[in-house]
Amino acid sequence: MSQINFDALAREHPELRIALKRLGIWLKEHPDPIIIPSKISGVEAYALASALMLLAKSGVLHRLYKVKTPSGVYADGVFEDVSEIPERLPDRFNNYFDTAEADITPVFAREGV
Amino acid sequence: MPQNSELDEALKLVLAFCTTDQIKRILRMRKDDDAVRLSAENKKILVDRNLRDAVNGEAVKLSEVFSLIQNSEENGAQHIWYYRLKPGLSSIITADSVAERLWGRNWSSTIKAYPSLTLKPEGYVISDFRKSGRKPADWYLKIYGHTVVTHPTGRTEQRDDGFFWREYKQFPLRTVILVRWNSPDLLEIRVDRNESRKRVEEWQQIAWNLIRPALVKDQFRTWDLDKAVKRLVAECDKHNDLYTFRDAGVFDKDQKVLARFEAVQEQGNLLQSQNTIEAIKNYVSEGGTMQALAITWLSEKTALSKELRVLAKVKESNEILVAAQCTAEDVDHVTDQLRRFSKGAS
Repeated sequence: MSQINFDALAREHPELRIALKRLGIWLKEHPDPIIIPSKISGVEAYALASALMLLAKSGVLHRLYKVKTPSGVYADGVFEDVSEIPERLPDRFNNYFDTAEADITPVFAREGV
Repeated sequence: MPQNSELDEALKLVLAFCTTDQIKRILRMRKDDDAVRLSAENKKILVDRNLRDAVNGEAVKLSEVFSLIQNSEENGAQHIWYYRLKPGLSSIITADSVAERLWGRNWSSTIKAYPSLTLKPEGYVISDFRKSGRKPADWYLKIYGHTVVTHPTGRTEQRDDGFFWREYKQFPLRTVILVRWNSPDLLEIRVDRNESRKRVEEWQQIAWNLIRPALVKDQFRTWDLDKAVKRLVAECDKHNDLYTFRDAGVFDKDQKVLARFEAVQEQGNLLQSQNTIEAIKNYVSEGGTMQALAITWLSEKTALSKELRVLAKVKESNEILVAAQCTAEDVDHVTDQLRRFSKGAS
């Protein structure tokens, strides 16, 4: 994920320049393969969502989905599409819960993950 | 060249149980052979075209495909119950004596037909019995199961007469049960992970039923992992290159309070929260009992092929759940560590 990508995108989308710059710094500082938007601070929510979507559209990131367990932590596994989420998943202590009742969170993965 | 039906069946299992990396690894070993190509648009094509061509072209042997299946379906994404052989019974546990009690004096001709991929419709059948290549005193007995599972589709239809009809779908479920003698002291019963606890427990019982002519549960005692788990907690600061914890459940000493700690992120680490780890240690040092512990075994400085998450004391004190598929060596690494930590403090 090079700086050039961010600079070029910021030139094409000046309204997202600040969000892209901050996002670029955050991504460098956090090597996590999966990026959870709520963990990124210092960027206004709408601009962050737009910047992430732009990076996904540009092929820098791709969008995935994670499911929260009834206790509010992330269940194991990421899903390419909401339709791929099984009806039931195990929580952290291997008790299965209905995903129809669960929170589903969009997350982003670096390309190649 | 293998019979087509045998290869078809084996390739189906490769597709279901083996990762793309595992399949590519076997192809890469023969990449100079004309029958081998590595690139494929997706996993299905990698199996149906690349691996099939490699076997038909005799670049890869069918026995290697069986080994690939064995390694994948027998290790990981499974519950393991540990049992310790009672003292004085070591003569009953050798591979030869177990085989003789299962199949009689001509047992060697029976096991020559293994491994078998054939399922018994809606039943369970022994499909393999072999000694370990790595530890000569160890052996494996594999059981294939086939059952039909009924599951609601979520669709309902209201009828005029006050009744409604709920739609259910039946689908076949193939399962693998493994009985493994891990010398010098442990019998492991391994069954696939499944959302139904009842089913998981039934599979364990089926293992005991099928080996009954050779071994019965009374010859063993359950190996309580409590001591190992407590020591893992107590010594976590000393072994931070060996393991971390992601989740933990701990009862207070009167078993009136169950405290659960969960790292929010999937890759989270409870050891990064000093308050949390101190709280867990306090519960344990004051007579509490670990109810479950999700241990992340680290690979960087160990023999593991990759990081491996294991939930110890899942429901029973002698039970672990290995979350993901892994290698035979990886599962053995976990068992060996549990053995090590079940002994006195280092």
